[in-house]
Amino acid sequence: MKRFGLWLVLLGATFIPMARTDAHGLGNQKLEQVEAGPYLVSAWTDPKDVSVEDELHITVSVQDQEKDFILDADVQINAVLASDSSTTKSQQATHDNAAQKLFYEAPLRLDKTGRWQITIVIDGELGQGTASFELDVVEASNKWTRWLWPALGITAVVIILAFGMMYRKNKPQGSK
Amino acid sequence: MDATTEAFLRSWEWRWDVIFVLLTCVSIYVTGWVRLRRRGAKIANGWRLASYLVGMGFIALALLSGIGTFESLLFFIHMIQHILMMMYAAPLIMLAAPMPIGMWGLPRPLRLQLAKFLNQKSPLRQLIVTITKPGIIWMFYTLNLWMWHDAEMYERATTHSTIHNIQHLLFFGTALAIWWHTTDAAPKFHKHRTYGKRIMFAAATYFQNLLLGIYITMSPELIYTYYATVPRMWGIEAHRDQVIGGLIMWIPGGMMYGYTILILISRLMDYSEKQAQIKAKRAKLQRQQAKGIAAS
Repeated sequence: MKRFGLWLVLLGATFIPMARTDAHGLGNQKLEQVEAGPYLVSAWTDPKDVSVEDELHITVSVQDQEKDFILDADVQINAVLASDSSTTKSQQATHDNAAQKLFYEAPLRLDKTGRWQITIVIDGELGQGTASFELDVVEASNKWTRWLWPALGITAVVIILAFGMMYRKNKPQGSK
Repeated sequence: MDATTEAFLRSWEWRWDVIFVLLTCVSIYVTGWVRLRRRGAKIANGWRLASYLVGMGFIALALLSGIGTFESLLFFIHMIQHILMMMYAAPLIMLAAPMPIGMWGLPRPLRLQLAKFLNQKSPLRQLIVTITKPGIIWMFYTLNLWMWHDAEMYERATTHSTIHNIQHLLFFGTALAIWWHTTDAAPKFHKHRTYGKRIMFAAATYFQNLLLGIYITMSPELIYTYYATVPRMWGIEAHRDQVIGGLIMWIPGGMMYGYTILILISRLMDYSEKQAQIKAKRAKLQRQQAKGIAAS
């Protein structure tokens, strides 16, 4: 059984980290090239369903009217809880935070449930612009995707254990 | 260099889950290679090590570089990513004999246990042989490839990271199985794969890949409407992006199968020539023996 234990550890080491795989896509599109002063702004939120426990990533694309990317603007994300305007969060969106360096990204933790008003403020050479959207934050819940990789890992371990037992049963007596 | 290209080249995402899996596989393989090399085993040669490392390098490039981060913005970048994994990384890794060499990289008790699991009479091996027969693998590979290129499935994978990871695992896993048969790599669990069978297998895989590439390239409508909603890079409109992606799948994607078929045909000709020479030699020897008997 020690050997099976080793198998289990190895498989766990392979599968369990995948359960926390960072999203490399853009997420849920909230704004699609909307006009914000002289700019065209697109915005995505990740994860798709935001809970109070999640770290929310807001990715912003800023383009001029000719659809060329603006890479040197100052992009600020402001979040206000709709039911209580004194609850606010603010974060600078930067290229460093973004996986795609054409975009700006800010991590935010919205720790109260309810509807939040997210405002993107852009300040650049062409002038200022703002765009906003609403986002619902819910209580933390068990998402099935969190359990997918560990479940697959455990299934693989169970299959291997079953085969190991079958093999031992079928092995002729006296054979090494 | 324009700002968009510069941003693309700087967009590396150090995904530790990918790095962890790649480093684990590389360390097991290199340990096995070194152990076998010390024992003087011919299988552990320089080109196999290079083939494995280059194959793993292609996976890292496909998943961690700008190709991995911009696949959600450009369809053709996504197709390049899949081709790197399925047409370049998978055959290079299979040519490196990962199974026998990798087994030698495991701790001895684990290696022996694995060898027991995979011996000729073990149920696990029988199961592997049954589910990886060439026909079954071809069907699964084709269904998997076409299913993920359905507009709805494609959009789900592009916008949901877990589904996207499953898609990549299935693409890479089925590609490894396809190249296992095509390259006749170890472990040789199946009955002898003749050159003729391997040529037919590669041609059948090439054909369905060709059809999918042509279908995407020739489609007058935008199949993957998701790309119309994201900002366009380098001024490439969504439909043109789709045409380029289809062409990439059609030509460079199919090229690897084309090369493989040519290599296999040349080997088949060499083999037939050698067989003919052996037959001629045998016939000559028999004639000489017959003459000798007659003379005596």
